[in-house]
Amino acid sequence: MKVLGLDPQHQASLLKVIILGLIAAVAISSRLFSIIRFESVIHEFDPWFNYRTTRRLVQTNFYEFWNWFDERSWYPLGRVVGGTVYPGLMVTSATIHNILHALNFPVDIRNICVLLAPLFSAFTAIAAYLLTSEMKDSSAGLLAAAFIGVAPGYISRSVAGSYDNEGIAIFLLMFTFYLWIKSLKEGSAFFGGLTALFYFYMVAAWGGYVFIINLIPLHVFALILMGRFSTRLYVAYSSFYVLGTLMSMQIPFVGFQPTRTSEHMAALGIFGLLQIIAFVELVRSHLASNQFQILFKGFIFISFVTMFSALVILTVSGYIAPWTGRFYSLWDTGYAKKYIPIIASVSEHQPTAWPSFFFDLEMLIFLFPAGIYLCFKELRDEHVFVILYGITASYFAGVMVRLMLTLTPIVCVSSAIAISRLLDTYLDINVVDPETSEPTPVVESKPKDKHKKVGDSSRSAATSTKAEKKKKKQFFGIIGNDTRGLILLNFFFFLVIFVWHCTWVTSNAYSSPSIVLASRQADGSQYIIDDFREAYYWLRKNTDDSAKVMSWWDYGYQIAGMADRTTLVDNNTWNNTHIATVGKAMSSSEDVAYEIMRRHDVTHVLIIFGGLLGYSGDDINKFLWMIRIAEGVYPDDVKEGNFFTARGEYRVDDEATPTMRKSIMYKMSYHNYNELFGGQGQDRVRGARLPAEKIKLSTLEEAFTSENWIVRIYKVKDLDNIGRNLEQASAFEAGKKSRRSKKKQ
Amino acid sequence: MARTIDLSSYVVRESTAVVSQNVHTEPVGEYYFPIPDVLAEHLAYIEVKEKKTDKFFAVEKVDLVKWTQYYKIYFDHRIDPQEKILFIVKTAYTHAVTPYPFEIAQTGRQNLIYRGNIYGNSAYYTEKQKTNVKLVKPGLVSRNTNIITYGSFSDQEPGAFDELSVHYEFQQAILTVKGLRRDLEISHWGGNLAVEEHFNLTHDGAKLKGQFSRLEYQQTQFIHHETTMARDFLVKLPARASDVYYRDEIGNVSTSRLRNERDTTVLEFRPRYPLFGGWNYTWHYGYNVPLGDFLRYHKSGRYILNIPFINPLHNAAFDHVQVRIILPEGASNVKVETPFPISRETHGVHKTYFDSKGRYLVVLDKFNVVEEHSKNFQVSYEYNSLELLRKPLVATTFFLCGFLLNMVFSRMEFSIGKKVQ
Repeated sequence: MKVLGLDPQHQASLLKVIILGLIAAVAISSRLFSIIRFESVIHEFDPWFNYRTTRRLVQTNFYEFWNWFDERSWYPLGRVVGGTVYPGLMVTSATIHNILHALNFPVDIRNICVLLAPLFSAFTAIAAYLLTSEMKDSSAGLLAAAFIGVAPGYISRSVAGSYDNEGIAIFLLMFTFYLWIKSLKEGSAFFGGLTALFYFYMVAAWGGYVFIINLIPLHVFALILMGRFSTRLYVAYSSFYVLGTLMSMQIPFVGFQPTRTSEHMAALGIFGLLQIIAFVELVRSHLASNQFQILFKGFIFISFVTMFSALVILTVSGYIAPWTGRFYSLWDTGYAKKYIPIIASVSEHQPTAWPSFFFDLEMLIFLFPAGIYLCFKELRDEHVFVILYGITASYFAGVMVRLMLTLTPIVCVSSAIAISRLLDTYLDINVVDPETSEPTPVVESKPKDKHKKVGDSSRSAATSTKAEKKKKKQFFGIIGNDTRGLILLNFFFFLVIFVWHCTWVTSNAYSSPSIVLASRQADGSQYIIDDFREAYYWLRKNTDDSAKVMSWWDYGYQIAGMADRTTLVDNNTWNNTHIATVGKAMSSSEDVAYEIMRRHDVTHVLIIFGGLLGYSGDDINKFLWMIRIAEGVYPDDVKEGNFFTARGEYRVDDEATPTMRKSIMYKMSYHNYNELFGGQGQDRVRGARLPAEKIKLSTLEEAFTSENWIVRIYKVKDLDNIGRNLEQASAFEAGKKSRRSKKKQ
Repeated sequence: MARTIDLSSYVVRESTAVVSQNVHTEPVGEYYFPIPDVLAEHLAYIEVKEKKTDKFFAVEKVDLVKWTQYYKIYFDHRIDPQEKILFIVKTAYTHAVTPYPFEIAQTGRQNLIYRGNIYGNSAYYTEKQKTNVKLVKPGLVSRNTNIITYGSFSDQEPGAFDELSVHYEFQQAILTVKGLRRDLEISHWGGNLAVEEHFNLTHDGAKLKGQFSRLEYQQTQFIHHETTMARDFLVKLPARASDVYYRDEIGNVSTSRLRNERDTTVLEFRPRYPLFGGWNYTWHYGYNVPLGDFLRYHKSGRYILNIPFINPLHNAAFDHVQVRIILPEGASNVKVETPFPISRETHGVHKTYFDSKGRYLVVLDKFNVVEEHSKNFQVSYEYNSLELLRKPLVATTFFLCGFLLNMVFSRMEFSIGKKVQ
């Protein structure tokens, strides 16, 4: 049957291209909520750093960027940015920027950064299509592309403005895996090399590359154990590993890690094992079997002993670094809380709660095991990969909320396999009606309603079954038309609900820039609470360029990006001691804090206070983490227990402990707050009435407070002119003033 | 000679009415008007017109002699001996007043000092003269009027000087635009003129004493209009302005409102934070306006753009104004006519979307600009309508090349060995 002068095969591929294009369009547009609601702005915290470095890269050149020593963060230590950053993201957007500018398209770098993640999500959909097509067929691939295009688990990290490594890394992950499967299937060194190339890109883009360099060896190992060693496997893995490792070592931040840390040892071990097996295979083909048996046993034994002892010796002698803390926390969820509070303090490092699986993946999470089961049934080499990926990613997603991101792609792939299998079974007209010589191709009827991106295949199924109904009605039971219709309608309904859920989640949960808050006014119009930018812009314009701002590390990147001022600590969190010092300053009394601040040349202190507005993510709520981190380094000076009441409660009202009330964090938060209420202030976050006494600050003075009091900036006073300590000085001033006012009366 | 010094805004405006008589025996066509050089460097604007006919006379800046800057006024006709002529010299100075005391509290009163010459500046013997000083409101120590008169003085020698110092209350924000960049982009394709104005503003009033207290700010809301704090701004845009936006370096600012009046569109906006003395703020806003409102096609085959040089902002003084006119790609033979002298005029190339050889860019720089400069200036150029086709042609060629390359590429064989079928 010819349509548009094309034979069915070409029709199918044309349709595939169109459908994929539409899926890509949907993937991009469903991520634009925040631009439409707010504006094209960089979100949250880390993206601000990425944005800042990208701007730097665009303004200077690559070598400048590579050698960039950022003296405006981690004051007074500074940060070697070029060597401590995964440059893939910045280089990608800078490349896009430069190409566009070379073609006279002066697109602002901010817009490129904002739209990079949605753009790459379209690529991810295509990569998912390719990968799933390798697993099953292209119709499963289209389903997988549609799923990953809208799955909230991935959208959460790739909405417009969320300019972070993950935005491009998921595409690279999927594409690397696709290339790996391809090279394994074909035993092609070319595809192995391509895998290595994209692996290199991935290494340059995200720390999660470790997942690839462990999963692929695991896959190889499983295949070997299953007795599936082949020259294809040997060629694919050897070319991938050697090239990939060499290339990955070009990234300064990674450097010699691939040869020196435990995370990379599995890959090296498997590489060795493959060589041995290949050698053994070679020997076997040349020797008689009994000779071979002896040789084989001896060889295996000796090589195992040497490799293992070499590993142990190298680890003990310090050549191979033992696993890092973040990795331990992957095995033992309680580890971080005990030893590295800084990791535990990040909410995205918490273990995942059950509902969030459903929230992020909806029905896919139920179809996921079905897809895995189908993989077991077929169990070709690539299916082993899906199974292994599924199992490991499920485990990691359970340990850390953040790793839900790595689980999402495989869930999409696996569920797509399941649904596609279901549709195949229920749409296979041949079973029903053997006489029908020309079955209506499924793919052909798809485009009629392609605007329903996910529901399309099932909808077309519904139409085609309807047409059938007229012809035959004698079949009942599982292959009867009514049963089919019921099942298909059911799944059509599920798919529609899925899309609806995904859109709802995206629009409600994942599209807030978090630097801008929105609320409704009494008349229903939108009111934008823009306190963060108000205060940052004030800092940017009205403080000296050399001002040093002390704040909790969460705001470090934002201050650097929006206020363009030097910070003490930021979201890079590489130096725990420095962070603990800031924590100590925040949690100690004025004179102790003043000394710390003077020593670090601090001119301004910035805190977030949500009490007036009821903004719960403020510094008083984070205060316990500051105390804990400070206590970890300065156990003699800061004690968490002192901040709890006798009954073990964390209070800010009349029952707050003396240590709490003396801490500068408490004082700065509530300074002048009582006066606003003309009596006792009401803290709307913690639902507490504040103590009535006036808070006196002698070493700090309020420099700026934003409209809704969310951001408060304090200026650190200079030393007193005549050498008094500042407390005495301000007491003296106050005394003088009160005496003077008395005189007037 | 009667002089009025208007101190009711930060930009000091002086208007001098001169009755001059030719005491020479031959007809004279010029008059030298002196300004002390301390003031002359703040001079932003000077215009001379005859009282009777309202005709403007040409003014030229000439030599600096003995700390006095002379301006040469050319009458439009020669003055016969013993004939009198009455003309008015209007000048405007920026930064001619300074706040004293330098620092005031958040809701404090701001006082300014003006220092100048009590006599009118004259290079000639003056028979009779007086000086008026006009203030914004009666706020001068021990006097209850808003106009002070000095004189009249009789028979003053040329260059007579006695210090005049006025210390008065001025309860308004003192705004200085350190830099203004106006981008005017003409598109014949869209029939559109895109305007974008980048402001770099400083509150030059008495500095805020100590630090800003939000508590005090909120508690004194009802007297905000009496303080020197600047919070609300208002600019008038052309009536048919559309797509108005208001942003700053870190994104959109949501505190703005747009309202349509009969012959203007009014943009009211607030900076992110209120401005106190010594505080800075930068922002930009932009809008589109139909090209026909400002561009005319003249019979001579030239297009003429006629548009105000600046859009005034609350009596602010502009230290530096840069107007960039981006003409369509292919515009040629460009001429700029301005009603006042410009510090610098440069021509260049600007490349933007879908450009191949780039657009014609004219950059006009002027220092020390005040409201009086919001007069229209003209840019005329020649433009061939065929140039309109350039963009689609370039884009088409680009894609054609892409497809051709792809065709060639897909027909080539790259594999090393023969593919096994």
